[in-house]
Amino acid sequence: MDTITKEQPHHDAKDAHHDPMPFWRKYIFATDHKVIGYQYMFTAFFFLLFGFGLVMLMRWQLAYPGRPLPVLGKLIASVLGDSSMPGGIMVPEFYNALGAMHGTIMIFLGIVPLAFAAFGNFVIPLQIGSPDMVFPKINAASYWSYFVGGVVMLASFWAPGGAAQSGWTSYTPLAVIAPTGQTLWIIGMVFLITSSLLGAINFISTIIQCRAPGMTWMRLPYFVWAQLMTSFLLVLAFPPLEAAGIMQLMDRLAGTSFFLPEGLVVAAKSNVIAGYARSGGGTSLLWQHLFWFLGHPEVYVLILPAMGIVAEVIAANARRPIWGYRALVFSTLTIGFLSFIVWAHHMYMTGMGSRISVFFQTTTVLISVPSVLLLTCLILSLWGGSIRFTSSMLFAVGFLPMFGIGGLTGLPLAFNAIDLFLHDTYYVIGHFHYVVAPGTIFALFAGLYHWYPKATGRKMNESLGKLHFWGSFVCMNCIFAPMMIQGMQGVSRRLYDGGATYLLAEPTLHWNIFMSMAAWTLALFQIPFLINFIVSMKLGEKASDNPWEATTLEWSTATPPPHGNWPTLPTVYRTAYEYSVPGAARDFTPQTQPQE
Amino acid sequence: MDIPYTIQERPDTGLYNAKVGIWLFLASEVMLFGALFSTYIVLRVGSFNWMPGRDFDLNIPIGTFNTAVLILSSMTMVMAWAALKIPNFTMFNLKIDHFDWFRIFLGLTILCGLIFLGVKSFEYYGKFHHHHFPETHTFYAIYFTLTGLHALHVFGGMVVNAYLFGRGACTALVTVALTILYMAIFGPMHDTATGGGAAFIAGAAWLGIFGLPLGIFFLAVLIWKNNNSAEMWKSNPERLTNRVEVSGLFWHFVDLVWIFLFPVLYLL
Repeated sequence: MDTITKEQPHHDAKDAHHDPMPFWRKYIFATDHKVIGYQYMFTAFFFLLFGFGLVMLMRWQLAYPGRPLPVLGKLIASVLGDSSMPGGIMVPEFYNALGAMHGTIMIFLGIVPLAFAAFGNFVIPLQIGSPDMVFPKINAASYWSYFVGGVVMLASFWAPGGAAQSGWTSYTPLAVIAPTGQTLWIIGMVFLITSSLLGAINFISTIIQCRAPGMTWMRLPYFVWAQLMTSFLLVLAFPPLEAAGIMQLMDRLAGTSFFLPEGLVVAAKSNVIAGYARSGGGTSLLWQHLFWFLGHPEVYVLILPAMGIVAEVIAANARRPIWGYRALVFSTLTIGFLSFIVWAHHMYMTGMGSRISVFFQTTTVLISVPSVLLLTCLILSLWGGSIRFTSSMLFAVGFLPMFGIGGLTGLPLAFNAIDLFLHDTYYVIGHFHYVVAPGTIFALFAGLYHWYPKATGRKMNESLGKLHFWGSFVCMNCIFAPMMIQGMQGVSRRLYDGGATYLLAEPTLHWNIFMSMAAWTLALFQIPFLINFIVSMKLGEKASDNPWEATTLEWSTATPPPHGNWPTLPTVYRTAYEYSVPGAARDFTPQTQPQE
Repeated sequence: MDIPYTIQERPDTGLYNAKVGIWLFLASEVMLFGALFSTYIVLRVGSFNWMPGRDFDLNIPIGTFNTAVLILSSMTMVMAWAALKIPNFTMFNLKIDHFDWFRIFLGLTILCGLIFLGVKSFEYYGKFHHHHFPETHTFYAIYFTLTGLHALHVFGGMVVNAYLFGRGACTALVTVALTILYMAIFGPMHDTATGGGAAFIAGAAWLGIFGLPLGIFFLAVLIWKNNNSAEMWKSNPERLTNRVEVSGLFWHFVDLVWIFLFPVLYLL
């Protein structure tokens, strides 16, 4: 660490680290927040692609129910055995496992680690002017806990009976009597929860303790605020799921019945009636309450970091300050608070009583107010700007209408009368995928294109970036808009054949092939991105320390930032987004520039 | 560049880093145990014929004794911290050094933890002996889940305290715990297997005759010699004091959880 107290000249990627640390210390068991960010990013990208692969398999079954999948089907059958796709034809249990694992992997192993852990780790210390996270070793422990959780989840595909099949929500009592994969799911989740907990505690402590001199709360970039709120959600919402997981584990292994009602009788596959004589007195609703107590704050864990990234990208590319910075901050805090009292809107259909429904309906409608404020502030920030349509800006601007559609389609679901009809249909799938897929994932791409030059010293290729954006934009809408149509027709989200044997689904059935084609095309449009991402590290256009002419602190240090980030701690003199200030020398004034 | 405020307090927050971290961790722990207590309430309210703990064979005097032990351990924990924090700390006019007082009180804290876990195992043994398992009744389900999770926390706190006592003590504690775990898991297995019983007894005897004295000797040497805390007390006393404070905060929390657990499970 002490080597960087010397004044350092401009850096090349090769000699960024002067310390003669061995490879395994620097990149494998790293404690530097940037390297841990990269580790998170690569692992999370692998899982995003993997989870996308799972849903592409599902889309085959939905488009062509019962038809053997050419080539790949046989391959999967030979790897996973006949309980998956014998002869290339998917069995229902495997379809269920794909669905459950797609949700689990995308949320807990893909988006949260990428949006929260990867971007948070890389950007937060740089933006607040800290040499590292406050607990570097705990930070490393957080990554490795995540890694182990991921391995357990992947391994569960080879468990007897296959991976977890009870949906990403693992609803009881089915999850309690499901095959071994469910046990591995719980164990994997415990590791992932531990990882998030360690990461979140680290982030909050860093933001509270390690802001550079002059970095007051209202001078923090909005991204940091978003990550701070996300961390609080993770710290407070995940432990109840851990408790629920422990109890489900007890139900499965120790024979308790926390979640099994008395005298439960289940028709097993062989039509033998299996009676579950347990200690009695449990309730399945309890699982749902505990699960959604995490599950709903989790939605904001998925969206708030995305909001933060979009705010940064829009400010830098629209060349004007974020409109309503304080409104953004206080909306975020309000969302954080309200997100803890809306969870039961996922449970209108459970018969928990209309009075409780009314309460949760009210809070759910309330939370849409700060959410709309966030979006409005970001849209108004574009007004009168001289916008640079870089790839990252395209993704950020693309995020706005996509999140808007996702959010507005959620409003009908908030009202319990309408939800009775739409619950568990493809409408719900379409709604939350609009929020998370073209919403959050677009924001993540925006962030990648935006901070790539800081991490590597080179820019990504703009033409490939635009190809990536337009292809993804069109395909995403082709996948998720038809789901709304199917959902309003009443097609259930859990049908193994996509509704082929379901009379009600008949008029909308032709959309299945269209959506599947769009999903596979979406995969093709990720190829230019992957090529761009890898090739640009060596061949991309060289970038200066501040290629986007942005104001926040991370652009004031060397590229790539050395271990310890700064030779001496920077001092902050102004708010985060001083773009196009009248009378200023340039159209951006960095936070480190002293007041006149 | 070093990370700021690892030892000194940040002026505007008045806290050093680890203290922020431990309070956040405790907040998450509150949510964890809160969820389990909520479960207890939901199960009890939703039950037609709930049998409270006192109608089962939960032993209230033993539970009371354990409560007292934990409260006592919280006191010794504070004294261990005070021994480091207060200049020229001593008691009863004894000419004993700061650091030795610290080790005495921390040792007492760990001892109280051991007594607590010992009594708890005795209680568990009684339950199992009378064929009361988590699956027997929903009350036992929540009883074993809550007290088991709490016991894990007690053990975790003891490991940290043992590390502060000296790295050797930590190694010793973990080794003993793993041995007990091994005996608890594999002992009954060998016993029931055909012909396995004799082999297990022979193995245990072998371990007892040769392994145990050797083990105790090595552990004693470890505890005595391997003392990282004494080194830190010389080189960076404030850092050690902070560590003890943070560990103490966790220990008090574990104590507090038990103070809620005891009336809820034993008395109500």
